[in-house]
Amino acid sequence: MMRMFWSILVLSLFAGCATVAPYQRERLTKRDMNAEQAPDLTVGMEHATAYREGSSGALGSSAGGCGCN
Amino acid sequence: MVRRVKYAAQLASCLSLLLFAIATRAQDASSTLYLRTDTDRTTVISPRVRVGADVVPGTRVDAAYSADVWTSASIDIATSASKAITEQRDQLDLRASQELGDTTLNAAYRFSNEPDYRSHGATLGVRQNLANNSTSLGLSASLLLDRVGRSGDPEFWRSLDTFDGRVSLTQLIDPSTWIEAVYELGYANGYLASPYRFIAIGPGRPTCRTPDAVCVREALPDQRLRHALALNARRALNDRFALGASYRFYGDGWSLLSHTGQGSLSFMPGENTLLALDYRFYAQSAAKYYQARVTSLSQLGRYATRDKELSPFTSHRLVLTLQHAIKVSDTFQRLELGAIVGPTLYLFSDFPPYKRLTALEATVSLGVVL
Repeated sequence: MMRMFWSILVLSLFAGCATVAPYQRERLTKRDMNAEQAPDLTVGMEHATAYREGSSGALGSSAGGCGCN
Repeated sequence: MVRRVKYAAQLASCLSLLLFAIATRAQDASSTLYLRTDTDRTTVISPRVRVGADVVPGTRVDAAYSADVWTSASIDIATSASKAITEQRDQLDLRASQELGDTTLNAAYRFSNEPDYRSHGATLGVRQNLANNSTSLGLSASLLLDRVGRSGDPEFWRSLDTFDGRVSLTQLIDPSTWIEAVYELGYANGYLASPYRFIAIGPGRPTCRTPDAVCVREALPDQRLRHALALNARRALNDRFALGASYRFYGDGWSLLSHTGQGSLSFMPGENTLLALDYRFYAQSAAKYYQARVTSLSQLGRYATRDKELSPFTSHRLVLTLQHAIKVSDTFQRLELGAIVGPTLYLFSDFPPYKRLTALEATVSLGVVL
């Protein structure tokens, strides 16, 4: 599993050579392609999730900053 | 007296937001209400308001106030022989960003306050667009300075400092696909245990209410180093459908490992409407200090906890999202309505009080763009 993860990571770094011309990006600018599609809507759920799992970071919000139960 | 001070602080926060909105001539604002309830008898109600504006071209500021009102009679509280409790946490978030050509600078400050916990957090970040904006490199660093208290014990205050560093690389692959890699390093130093959690020692399944059971406070090391590595990707299938996927690997100095996988399918029936269905899978191993059963004091290590969040478990979550924008009048550019609802199933493999927990979460939002 970790070997596959690193392979994908390295491939994504090599993909840095690729460029997509601005006139080709119309589809990428639509709201369903946003990395954060609805941050106001998901902030509560992400916060609750971060305090109910032993891990945090790299996805959504980070844990810390409250004594939440 | 304490309650009056709390209400005065809330009022001051709301007034600050209002003044901020007037002063910056807010261009967009939103209010949301988050609700969560679970079978561990915990309920969270969290209203939030946010205003944002482009102060001058290239400079954006946002401010948000939120409150978490939670009521709980969870197993953590029952094992420490406490009654059900209700508590409120107030949080103020301030953010600013500045675009300088292909570079964007970000700064954020967060203050969170509750009767037994106070936190100040600051984040600085930079994002650099490269290769004709086909590649984006992001770096950020956060520092949280927390004070951990214990209700009913004014002498008990401990410090907890947390540092987080994050690097991300986003790459456009083709006109309908992007991919992102994120690494986050976190280091916490200070009081990391819960001042309310106890370990009941005795045969069977003792709680602190069990006669003859011995109860000791949980103890955890003062340091924790965390690593999280994630890959995210999104691809448009056609003009209306898009797929998203992400995977995260997490490991820390307490020997806790986890895997998180997410998949998303979104559908845009029109330019103003978005429907999405998300599935999230999560699995973690136990932290090395987790002890599910302690029948005698001699079994108790130097560090020990019975925190279910440090026990081995898996979870499955399904989330349905609906967003819709409405053009109202010339005064408002548009109104934005949103709703998400999602059940989560937690399956605990080594937590004696229960094997499963279900939760239901929902958020509704109303936003306006002026």
